[in-house]
Amino acid sequence: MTATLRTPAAPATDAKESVSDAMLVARAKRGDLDAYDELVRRYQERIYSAMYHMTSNHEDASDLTQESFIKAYRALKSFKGDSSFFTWLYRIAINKAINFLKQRKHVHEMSLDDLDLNAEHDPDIVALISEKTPRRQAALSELQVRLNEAMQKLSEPHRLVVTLHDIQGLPHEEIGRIMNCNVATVRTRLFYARQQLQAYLSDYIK
Amino acid sequence: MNSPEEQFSELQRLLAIKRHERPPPGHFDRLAQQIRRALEAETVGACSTWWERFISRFDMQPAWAAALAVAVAAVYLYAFVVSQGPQSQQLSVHHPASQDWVSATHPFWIPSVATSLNSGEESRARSATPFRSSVGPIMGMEPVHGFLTSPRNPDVLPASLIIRTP
Repeated sequence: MTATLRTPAAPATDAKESVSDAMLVARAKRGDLDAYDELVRRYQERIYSAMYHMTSNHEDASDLTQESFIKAYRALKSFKGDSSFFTWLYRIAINKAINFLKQRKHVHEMSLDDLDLNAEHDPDIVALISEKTPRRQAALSELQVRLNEAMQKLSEPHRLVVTLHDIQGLPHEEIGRIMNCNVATVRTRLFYARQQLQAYLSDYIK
Repeated sequence: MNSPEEQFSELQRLLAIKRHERPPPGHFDRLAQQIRRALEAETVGACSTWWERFISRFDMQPAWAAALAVAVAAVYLYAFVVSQGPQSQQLSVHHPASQDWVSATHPFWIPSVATSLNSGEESRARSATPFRSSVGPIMGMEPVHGFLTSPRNPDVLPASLIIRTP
């Protein structure tokens, strides 16, 4: 049985992990690929998840994740440790995603992953769709499409704050560091992004 | 119509569905391997000489280093076994005679005591055959006779240079 994507809860505050990250980064700077491989395995799910929710396309998310890790490795010498490795890596990935989306612009093709079987048993989701239709799986798929369409209608900064905060669970401060803006800006963007989403998904929100 | 807080709560429940969207099983293992391979290729490409590329390959895959060591050891062992075999001894017995024959055909050859004793008849018979140079016309020319040089045929050496044994 598969599990849901892990969401990082305050990664920068996890002292043990950040110390370990620092050691791995120091080794990777000396050319130790095993150390970097450990960093990749540690953060690839989170980076992939962010890329996926930004693009709504599995292949694009995979490519962007791969390119982000390769770019980060090349730039590792310039990483001074002012922020955590996680924040620095996220910044690289987010910049890559935004550049990619600017190039892609109107050519958009959704490639949505299958919902985890667990999703059908998630009490929140069951409560949401059971009232709509007895055809639960069809309803789930339809809802998934509608959700992704609504996400793609948001501007990139708004989509990013929703992805990082409401889906991945990052705190406002961490999002501010990643997006290089203050917490008030993050909160404002989040407020407007939610308003737009509520409008797009009004069929599902009473 | 719900209050804004309730609507926000509904939206959060909707967005929770997106956490269940995930790639196919095994995707992250493959992704990590792809990243690793790309970085390895980049590292190997950055090495300047073929020797550095060769060595770096062993760093990535120690099994290759072990395989090479075993292969080299096997070659050495095979060479040792072959050198100890009966055929190689037979070759070494025949070698001096053939070497003498080759030397005898050389224009600057001086016969040794052993040659003149052991293969006198044999060399006389071989010297009857005409000289054929394999290195070009210069080697086929008659040498200038001097103190240490001799005619091609050892049997017609000056009497003062022939070593006689009792």
